[in-house]
Amino acid sequence: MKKLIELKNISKAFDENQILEDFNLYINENEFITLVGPSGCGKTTLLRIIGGFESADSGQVIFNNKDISLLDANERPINTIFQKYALFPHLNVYDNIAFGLKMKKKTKEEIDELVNWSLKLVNLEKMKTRSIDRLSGGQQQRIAIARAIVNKPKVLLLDEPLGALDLKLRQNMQYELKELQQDLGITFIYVTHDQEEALSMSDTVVVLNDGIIQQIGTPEDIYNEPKNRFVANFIGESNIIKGRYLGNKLVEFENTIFECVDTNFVVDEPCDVVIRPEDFDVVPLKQAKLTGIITDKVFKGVHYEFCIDINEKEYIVHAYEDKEIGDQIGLSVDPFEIHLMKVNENENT
Amino acid sequence: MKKSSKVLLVILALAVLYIPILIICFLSFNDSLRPYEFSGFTLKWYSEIFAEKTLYEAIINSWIIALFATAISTICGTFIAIRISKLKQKHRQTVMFLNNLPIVNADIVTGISLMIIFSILGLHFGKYTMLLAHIFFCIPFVVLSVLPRLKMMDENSYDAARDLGCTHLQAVFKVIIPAIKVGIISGALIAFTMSIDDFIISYYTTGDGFSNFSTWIYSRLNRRSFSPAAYAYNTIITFGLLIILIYINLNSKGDNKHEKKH
Repeated sequence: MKKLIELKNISKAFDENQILEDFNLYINENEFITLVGPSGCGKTTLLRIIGGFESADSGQVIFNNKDISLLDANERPINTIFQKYALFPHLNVYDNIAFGLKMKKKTKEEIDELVNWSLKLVNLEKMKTRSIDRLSGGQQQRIAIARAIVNKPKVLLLDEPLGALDLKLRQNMQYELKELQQDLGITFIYVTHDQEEALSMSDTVVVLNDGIIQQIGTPEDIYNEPKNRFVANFIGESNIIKGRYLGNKLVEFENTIFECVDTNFVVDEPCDVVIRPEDFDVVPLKQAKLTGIITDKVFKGVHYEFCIDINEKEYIVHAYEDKEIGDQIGLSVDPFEIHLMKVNENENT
Repeated sequence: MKKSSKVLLVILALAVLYIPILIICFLSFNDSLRPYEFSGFTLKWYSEIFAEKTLYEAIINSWIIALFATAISTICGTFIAIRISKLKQKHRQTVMFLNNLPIVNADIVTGISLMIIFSILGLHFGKYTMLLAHIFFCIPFVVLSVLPRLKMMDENSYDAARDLGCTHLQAVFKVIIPAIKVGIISGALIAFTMSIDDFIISYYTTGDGFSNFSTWIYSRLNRRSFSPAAYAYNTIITFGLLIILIYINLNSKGDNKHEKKH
């Protein structure tokens, strides 16, 4: 794969606030990459630096092996879809979409053809002459997409574009965006704080916290093999347990010895054990490796979510069968569901 | 309160509001030079507006000053407001406080302080000092009228314009200004009405025999040379405004019906 964008040693501070420090990342051609992290982690700042709306204090933005750090936003082959769409209220649907093309001085016929093409892509051909304030949120979103892709950019930046939509619409748009990205072959750089969105749409997920990359990987990697406590907690729910590696693919936690699949630890090294709530198996008490008391339960539709007290520590377990609060419950875990993380002394949570 | 006394109160209130206007209107048709005697109906004061050279000039001056002051303060005020909207919350509040101070300040203080500044600067008092003063006191009103429109805009509108290929200046003219058009127009209207009927500040900042309508009236009050043509001009202004207001009212009602159909 070809590197399309490279961020080299990017630093950026607002007033006294250091948002990014010596940040490095590369993005491949035709990749759907998602920057995910809590608010204030620097993901939007990063996007604005790539788009040219903000200039980095130091460092370079490389596009196709050329340094574009000093180019203005209007000179970059990049288009953006903004959080609240930023459609122009004084122009109708057609003129909003045609705006970028008119700036490029395309002929009337070219503009007409391209606008119709992009309206077709977002299924809003009939809305051509509508005024912007008479569109629903979902329609405005589609127009914003059409307005960006009509310019046929090499890269599309998306800043939490689905944040203002309701759940059902958001899920539909996730599919549509993914499809669009594959059909058009445009590189998408997507920013969100919604970890579910990040997992379901991306080729590559970048988990950020405090301006530092916590982990880069495929959605599966990030979910199944989180590198540290932050990633394990931020992406999905996790039970994180202090344990000790015994060597020979054995790990000890809660005074019990479990088989595991990780090997890159030395004997007797302390480690953090991650077990996802859905990875516990509920088993009869006799076969159980861990037993606990149910302290709380919530019905979630597909499954029940139980809070279980094991040795006075709280565990979250997802299970399909119903149990009562106060019941004793037996649990076991398959070796491949146990993920071990290196212990980082400086980390809280 | 009884219904009849309520009606009486409304009539009294309306009378207090409208009798002075009606008296001026009445006097504009009065043949006599003195306001306290009626000697017959005439239309001659209406043609007198053009015949009485000093009055005619003063009226023209008022309009020229108001038009220029409106144009210049609207342009300046709009750009100032755009800049203010880009400031951080804390700084914006400080700047807006400084902007609003001249609005609430007494005209007489503004007038005298401008007079002192102009004389310190050694400016020649006349139409240019008056125009400068009018621009000065109109700008805060324009800023105050434009800023809320800017706040209503999507915060990323400017970035979106840049993203789609606009330079800084193109983004302002193609996207920001069309989006805040309503605020700019209402700001210009406020500036115009503030300027065209200003007396106090004009009085302190004019010179060289240059007068607008209000300073002209002040200089002629209780003198023989006062012409009732001024009443005629006032009457024209009043009824002109009335017609414009009725027209706008009728039109906006039409708009509402139009909206409902959709």
